[in-house]
Amino acid sequence: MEHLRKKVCMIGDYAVGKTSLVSRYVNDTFSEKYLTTVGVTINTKTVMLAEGRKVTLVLWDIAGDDELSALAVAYLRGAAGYVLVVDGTRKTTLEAARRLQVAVAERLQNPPFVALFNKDDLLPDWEISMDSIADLRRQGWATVVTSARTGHGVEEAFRALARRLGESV
Amino acid sequence: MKPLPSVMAKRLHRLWCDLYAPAFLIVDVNGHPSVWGGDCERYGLRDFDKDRPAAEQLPLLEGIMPRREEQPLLIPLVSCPSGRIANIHLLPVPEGCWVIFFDADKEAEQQRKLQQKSNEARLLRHRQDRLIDALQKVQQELEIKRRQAEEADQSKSRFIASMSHELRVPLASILGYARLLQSRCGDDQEGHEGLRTIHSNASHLLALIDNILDQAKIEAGQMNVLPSITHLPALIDDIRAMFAPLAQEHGLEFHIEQPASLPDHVFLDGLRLRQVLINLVNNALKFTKHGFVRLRVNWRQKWLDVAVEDSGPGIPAEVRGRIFQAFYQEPGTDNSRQRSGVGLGLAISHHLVGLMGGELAFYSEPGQGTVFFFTIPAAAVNVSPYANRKPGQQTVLLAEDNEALRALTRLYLEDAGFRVFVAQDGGEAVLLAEQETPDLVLIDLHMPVLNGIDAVKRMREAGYRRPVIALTASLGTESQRLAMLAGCNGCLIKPLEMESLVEAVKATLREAYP
Repeated sequence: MEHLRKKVCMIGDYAVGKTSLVSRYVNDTFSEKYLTTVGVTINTKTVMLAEGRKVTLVLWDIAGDDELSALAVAYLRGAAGYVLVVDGTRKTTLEAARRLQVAVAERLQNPPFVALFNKDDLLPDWEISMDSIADLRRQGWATVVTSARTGHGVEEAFRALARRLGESV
Repeated sequence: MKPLPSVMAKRLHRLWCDLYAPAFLIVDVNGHPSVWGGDCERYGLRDFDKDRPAAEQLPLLEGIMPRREEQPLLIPLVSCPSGRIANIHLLPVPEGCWVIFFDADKEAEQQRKLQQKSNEARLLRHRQDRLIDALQKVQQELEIKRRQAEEADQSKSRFIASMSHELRVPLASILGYARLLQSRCGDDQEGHEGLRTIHSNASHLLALIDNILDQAKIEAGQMNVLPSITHLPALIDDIRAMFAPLAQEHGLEFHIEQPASLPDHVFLDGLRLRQVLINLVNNALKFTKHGFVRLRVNWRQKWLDVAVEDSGPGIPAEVRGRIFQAFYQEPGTDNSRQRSGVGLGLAISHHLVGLMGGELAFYSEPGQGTVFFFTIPAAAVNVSPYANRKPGQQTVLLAEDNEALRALTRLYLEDAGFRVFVAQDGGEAVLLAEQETPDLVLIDLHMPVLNGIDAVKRMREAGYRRPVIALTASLGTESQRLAMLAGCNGCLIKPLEMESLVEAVKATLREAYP
């Protein structure tokens, strides 16, 4: 039975919910308190793929930034894919995500990624329209609307990326 | 640099090891752990299985191992399996790669504090910006709604002004011609009775219209007072003339008490004071079955005291709090005389007295009658007479575009002994004022070609210095204010009894040419 291990980086602006998404996905927990991430925190989660194959995602939860710093470049080393996280309640985080996606694609030769539009539980406060998400989907982005608080879309998002990583072997 | 003495080097080495707590792992060319040591426990590096890939046992190594030809790498501030933070150095060597862990807990903690504060401040700023945006949006919406309300208000005002004009002009004709025909129908009692009924009903309709329009203006916040020089004795005489016959008809005594020291001219809104007095006296006459109604007027040091007293049934205690409410009518007033009207007179009077700087109040004892009273500012004014009046028959220039009203007013003025010049519009009025220099001008404010206000302005510019009385069917004080600013000496609201109009003309001429 084939067992893959893939390094996946969590990328996005500060306070978009990267750590919360990993926490929900890996431990099924959520904390209301905002705690900034310093450097990088690493977690793993194994996903069963079709035909008995499985892939262990090694999730590098990187400190948030709106641009790709030299530090972040060091963390990206060897990443097979990435999760781009956007906070739906702050449109500036989408602008940051666009910049980060271009920079990461250049560095890592266009690896697979999935864009998570997080904080679906705060939908009335959203500054990002569903139309603009649909536009990104038309441009080829894999997008999922998520809520780390409720868990909505989280499993589906990581599983989608895991499938793409499994296919790309 | 010379080498350090061995004792010192050992001491520094111990200090450095205490500070950075290094640990290491050597990964062979096949990616398997071969040797490890140092403070492995601190970073959660357990015993490795040399037969399994290192990345499988220590996931943070997944994908990061450098190739042999690569430069050493630093992966800073990595959270290790123990939860401690380490700076991880990767040193490629021929037999594989050295992975060295240095403690970075303190460095990470310092950075965390700074980063936490900075990010929280940025989040707060973002929320603040959103709140400001939301407030600005609300402000904009409020501004739009305010403008819409203003527009609606202006439409309402225009409607009120237009209705006022449209309803009052034909009523003026009905009232005037009814009175004229009455004076000319000789001994025909049936004719007299019919004309009296027409006049009485038209007057009642006019009073109702006036009250409803006034109430609409109060509700729209557009009711204003316009103080001007007011001839107080004439105003009181007018009230006496208006109500003495009615009191007599109802078998009531009607007295007006006024001191000899009452000044002739005071500065107040005579039209509104007259309206309040009419309401109060009319109410008193309506509700009093036996006895008297008394109007007391007193003046002292710039203040006018007014009281309307009656010997009626009094106001029951339980309704006293509501009698100034619009459309309130005392229950049990089944008498048709008492029920005439819609319950606006007192509400409007209360509001008008307030606008004039006083407060309408009352004192009432069941069975003992009621007294309504108020005090308003009324400074005494010395009026200087007009000079250079020509001797002989007095002349009046009447400018009125409504043919029926023009003819009627002319008849009354000529009957009163005046020589009358008539103008059909403002332009003609300006010409006649210049050519004929009449002793007085009576001018309607709403006329074609040149409206009354502009016509008066031109007359004044051309040097006409004699009295001008404006006539308007608009209840709005704005047109009165504009008329006074243009140079009018007074303003009369149509419709008004032709006798009253003639009296007003005579009184003005008496004042102007004593």
